[in-house]
Amino acid sequence: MRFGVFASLLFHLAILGAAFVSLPSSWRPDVEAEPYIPLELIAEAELDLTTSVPAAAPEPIAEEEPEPEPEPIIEEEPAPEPGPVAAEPEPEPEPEPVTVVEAAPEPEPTPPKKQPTVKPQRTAELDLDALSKLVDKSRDDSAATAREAPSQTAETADRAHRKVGAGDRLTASDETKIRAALRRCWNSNVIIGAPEPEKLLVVIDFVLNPDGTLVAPPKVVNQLQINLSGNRFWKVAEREAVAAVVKCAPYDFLPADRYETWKEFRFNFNPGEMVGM
Amino acid sequence: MPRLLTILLTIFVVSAPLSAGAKVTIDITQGNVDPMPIAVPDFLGADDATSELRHDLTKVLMNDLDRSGLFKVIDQRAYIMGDDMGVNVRPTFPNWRLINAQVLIVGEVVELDDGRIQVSTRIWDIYADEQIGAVAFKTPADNWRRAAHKVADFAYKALTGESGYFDTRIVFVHETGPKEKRIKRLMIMDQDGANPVPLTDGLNYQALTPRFSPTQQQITYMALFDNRPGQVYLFNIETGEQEQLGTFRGMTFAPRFSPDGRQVLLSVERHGNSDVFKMDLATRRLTRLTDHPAIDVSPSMSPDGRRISFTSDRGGSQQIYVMNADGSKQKRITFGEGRYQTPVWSPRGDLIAFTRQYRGRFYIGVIRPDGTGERLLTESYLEEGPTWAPNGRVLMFYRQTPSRRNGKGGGASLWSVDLTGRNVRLVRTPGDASDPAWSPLLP
Repeated sequence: MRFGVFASLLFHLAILGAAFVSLPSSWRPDVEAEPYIPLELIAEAELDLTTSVPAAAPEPIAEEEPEPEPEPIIEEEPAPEPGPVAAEPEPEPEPEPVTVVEAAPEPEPTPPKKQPTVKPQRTAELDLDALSKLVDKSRDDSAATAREAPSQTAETADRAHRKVGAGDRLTASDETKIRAALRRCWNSNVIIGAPEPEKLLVVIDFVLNPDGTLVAPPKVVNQLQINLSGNRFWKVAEREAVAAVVKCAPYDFLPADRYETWKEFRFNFNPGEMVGM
Repeated sequence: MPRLLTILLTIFVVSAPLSAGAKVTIDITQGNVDPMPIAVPDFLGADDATSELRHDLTKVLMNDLDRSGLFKVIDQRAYIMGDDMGVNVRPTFPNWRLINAQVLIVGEVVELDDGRIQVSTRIWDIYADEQIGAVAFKTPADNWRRAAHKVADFAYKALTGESGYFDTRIVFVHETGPKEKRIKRLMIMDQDGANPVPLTDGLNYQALTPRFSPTQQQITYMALFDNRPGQVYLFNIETGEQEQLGTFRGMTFAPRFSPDGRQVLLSVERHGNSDVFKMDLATRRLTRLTDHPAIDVSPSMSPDGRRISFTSDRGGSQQIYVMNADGSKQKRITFGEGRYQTPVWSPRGDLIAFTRQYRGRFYIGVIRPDGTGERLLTESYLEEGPTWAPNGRVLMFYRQTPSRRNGKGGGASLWSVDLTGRNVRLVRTPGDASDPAWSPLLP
C-alpha cells in the first residue's frame, strides 16, 4: 500500500517534470511573415510572490468603526433565560449549539431565539441537491413571510411586525431592503455567463454588529465542496458572493431596535435564475 | 489512505453544519449585471524612458477589459494613489474601497539589461484584502501591445474563471470598390482592431468565408474566380503559403476546421445537390457524411469531435441538424419559423451559435446542442456569420446596413456580443468588413 502510494507519487512527479522540460521546446516562437513576437512568461516564483511584499501592516480599517466594542443594545424583550447560555444548554426543542465559532461581538447572554419560520439548516452533507432543496424550502418560507406581512409602507409593515411580536423575526420589509441592497452589491455579470450557472450555489454565513458592520469576514459554508469540485467558475462565484456581502456592509438600513432579528444571516447566492434575463 | 480521507471528510461534513446557529436564511437570486468596477492605475516604472510605453500599455489593457463588457475601469482621476504604490507592495485597500473598486490591477514595467522589458502585474481582491494572482512577462519593448493583451488575458482568467481572448487576431473579408465591382480580400488584425494587414490582394479572385484553425495560425477559405468554380484553400498565415484543398468535381464551399485542426469539414455541390463531407488533411481523403437529396451545408464540429451540426432544408425550410461525427443519427434541433443558417459549435461545447432569418430580419442566436434554450442575442436588417472567441464567451459577426435608393451606403461592419446578449459593440476595421473569423489564442 505504502509502496503503491510512493510509486504513484514518483510517477506523477516524473510526468510533471517531463511536461516541464518538453513543453516549452515544442512551442514555436519564430515566425516568418506576420510575426508575432514571443513573450517569455516568468515563473511566479521569480516574481517573489508574497515574500517580498513588505507587510505594510495590514491595518484594520480604522475609519469605519471607531468604537472597538459595540455595546450590546438594551433588549426590549425580557429575556427569559439570562443565564450564560454557553455554559448550560437548556433542553430546548431545538438543541442549539451556541458554540458560535466566530468572535461574537458580545460575550453576553444571547437571548433565546425562537426559531424563525426559516428552518434550521440540517444539511447532513454538503451536496448540491440538499442545498438546493434547502433553497427551495427557504424560498417557500420567504414567500410565506411576504404573505403574512404586507410591505407596501413602513407603517403597515410595522403594524404587522408588532402583531407578530417585537423583534421576533425579520420583517418582510427588512428582507426586501436586504434583497435590494444585495442586488446593488452583487456583480453577477461574470457568473451568469458561465456554463451551468444554476449549479454555482454559494452559501455564506455572517454575523452583524448592532451598527450593521460585519463582526468577522463572511464565512463560505460550502467552501470545501467548491474547492473539491475543481470548478473554477464556482470559485469565481464564491469570490463574487463574498465581495457582495462585504460591499453591502454596513447593513445600517436595518432597524437597530430589531437587531436580534437580523443579527445572523445565511445567504444562498444562486445565479441560476438570472440566465437569459 | 482513501479511508482516512473519507473519515476526515465525514468529520468535517458532519461538524460544519453544527457551527451554524439560528440564522435568517435568504436566497439571493438577483444581482446586478453591471460591469465589475476595477481600478487600473498606469503601470509603474522607475525610468522616464518607458513612461509613454507604460501609459500606452495600460490603455490597451484597460480597453481590452472595458470592451469585454464584464468590467468597468474606474476613471483614473478618482484614484487615491499613495507614494508607496508598487507591484510588490500591499495596496491600501480602504483607499480603493472608497471608490468602489472591486479589483485593483497594479503593474510595473522595467527595462532589462538585454534591451527587453519585463512587465509584472498583480491583481488584488479589494473586498477580501488579498491577492488574486500575479504574472510577469519578458519581451522586446516594441512588443508591448501583445504584453498588454497577455496581461488582460491573465486578469480575465483570474477574474472570470474563463480563458481570455485578447491575445488573438481576426481574419475578415475587407470590401472595397463599387457594389458591382466589389473587391473582396482577406485581412488580418489584432482582436482590438490594431495592426490591420492584407493577406490576399483580391485582384484575381474574391476571398470568402475565412475560418481559423483552432490549433494553428492557419485559415481555410473559399476563393471565387471569374472563370471557374469556387474552390477551398488553405492559407498558412505564418509562412504565407497557400494551397488548394483538393480538386473536386463541382463546387466546394463553407469549409471549417475540426477542433483538432486535422480535418476540414465542407460542403460539396454536385448536380445541384449539396452534401456534407470531411477531408483528412494528412491523407486528403474525402469522406461523405450526408447523402440526402436536400441541401446540406455549413458543417461545424463539436469541440470533443464527436458530433457535427449542419443545416438542411430537408424538412421544408432550412433548419439546424446535429449528427454523429460519422454521419449517423441525424437529428433536427431547431423548429422555429424562418431559416436557420451558419451553425457554429462553441469551443466550450455548451452552445451552437447561428444566424436566423425571420420575417425580413436577421438575428444572431444561440441554442443548446439538444435543441433547448434558444436565445436570440442581436437583431438587425442583415447580420450573419457568427464566429466564437476561443473561450466560447463572446461572438463576433457582421452587419450590413441597407443601401440608399441611389445605391450608396449599405456598408458592412464587424460587431461583437457577449453570449448573454449584452454588450453589443462595433469592432474597429479599416473600411467595410464582413465574415470575421476569430483565431485561437496566440502561442
